[in-house]
Amino acid sequence: MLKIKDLHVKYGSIEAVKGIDLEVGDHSIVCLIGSNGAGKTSLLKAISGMVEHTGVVEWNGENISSYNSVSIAKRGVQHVPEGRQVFPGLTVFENLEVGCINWRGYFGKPDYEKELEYVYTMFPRLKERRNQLAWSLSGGEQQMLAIGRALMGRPKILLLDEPSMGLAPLVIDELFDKIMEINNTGLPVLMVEQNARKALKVSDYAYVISQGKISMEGRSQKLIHDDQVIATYFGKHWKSSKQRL
Amino acid sequence: MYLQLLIVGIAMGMIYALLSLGIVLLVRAVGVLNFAEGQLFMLGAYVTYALTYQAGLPLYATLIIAIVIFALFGVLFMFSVYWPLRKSTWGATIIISCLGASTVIKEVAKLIWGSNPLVYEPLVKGTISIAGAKLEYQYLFIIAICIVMIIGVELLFEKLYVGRIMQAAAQNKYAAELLGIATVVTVAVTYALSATLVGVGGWLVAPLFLVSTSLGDFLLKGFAGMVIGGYGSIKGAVIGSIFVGIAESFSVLITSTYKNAIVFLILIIFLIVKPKGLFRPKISEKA
Repeated sequence: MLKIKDLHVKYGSIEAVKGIDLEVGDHSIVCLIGSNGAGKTSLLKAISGMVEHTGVVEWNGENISSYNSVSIAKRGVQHVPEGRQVFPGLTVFENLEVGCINWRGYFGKPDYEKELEYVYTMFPRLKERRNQLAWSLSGGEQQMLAIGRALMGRPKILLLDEPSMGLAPLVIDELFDKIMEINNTGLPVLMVEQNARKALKVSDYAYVISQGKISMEGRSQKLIHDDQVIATYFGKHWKSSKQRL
Repeated sequence: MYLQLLIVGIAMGMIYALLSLGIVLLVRAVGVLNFAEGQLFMLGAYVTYALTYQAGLPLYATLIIAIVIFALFGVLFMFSVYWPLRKSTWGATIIISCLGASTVIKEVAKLIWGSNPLVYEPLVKGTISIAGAKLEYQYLFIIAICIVMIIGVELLFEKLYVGRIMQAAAQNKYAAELLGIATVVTVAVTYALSATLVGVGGWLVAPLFLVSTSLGDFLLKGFAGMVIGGYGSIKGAVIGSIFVGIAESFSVLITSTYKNAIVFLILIIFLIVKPKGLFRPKISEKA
């Protein structure tokens, strides 16, 4: 269970996150929606220890807010960053292998058979391309690799930052199916998304962030029909095609 | 005659290869062109001189202790010259601090060992004659040591998990940290490795020349090798440097006074004709 209380993130004099409270339950998918610059990415970076912040980040009863990214990763918090960020000059397999670092250490045994098989069954495309350098993959494949790499780290929670960014609609559908499939194994997911409609469809609970604060929260099924959410985040042609839901 | 020139050229090229490997590793890991690498090379000659003649240690002990000193000095160098400035938004900051460090190292070496050049006896004495050519053993010794070092680096990066972690951290520091890689460790190890390669290069070159602060100028040869091989490529740095060594050695047939000029003429021709070098780095941008 991930609990965040009164989280603030400041870049110099600019405050990007202005006091956010948030909870991710043990088996749920929670999504954060909001426009550009609302503070969503800063919030995820604060959880994984990549930016200075104040407030409490409680992970399974332990306050991890002062820990660095290495010890947070060791506790099973796996953050898949915005824009994939795969290691371009390593092969697909090597990328996955590097994902084991948080439990394997620098000189540990390569005890990753089970994880590798899971990732390869989840994303068969990665298995086909396992000897290809990561830069040569398509955007969708790179996103799968980034998620697969995180899964190699025996995660206990997955933080996904904009998984659908820059991907074709068909690929996005496939990706969200996979995210639901991963979540069905009991792994909680906290997901930041600009594609609010898709995010609300797959998630259980949602927070709407604007200007560093939570402006709305609730069950995703409810928010998806909320007039204000529709008007702000679904685009102007959405209402006319609402029956498609 | 030709065989002799070839062996001498390969030996010198191998020494340049250690130097350019040291530069390339840091370019890949932290994106910094370390201009103090020449002074680390020079320091390698002075440190091994001190261990051999001032402390009176035998060859193998000199090598082992020198490697430990080089590695520790590399880490010290990282925490004093690179680490405090790593978040600087102006790209030239670290280059300037490297230049500053190179001056400091040079002057401190002068303070300790004086400004007169010191004489280092050949590491292994004697000559061998192959096909009528007389050859000093020490060139073969240099080639052997360099091959061991280069293969060691290759094995570290390609075969060991730690090497892959270091490559990952060099390619994308942010993602590496998110996965739980302590990038401060990988960067420190890279600095230690770089200082060791370059320091051993300085040790090998010391008996061929005199031990003096002008050994720092060898940086340019290593740099030429790296550019000819392909900026950022490990394989390229090694092959480019050997090419530079052989070219330099054979240029004696035309002129011995201007052999440096010939090396840099070749560099300029390469920059015009093949600016990306012989080998592209493994990663290329996706169109």
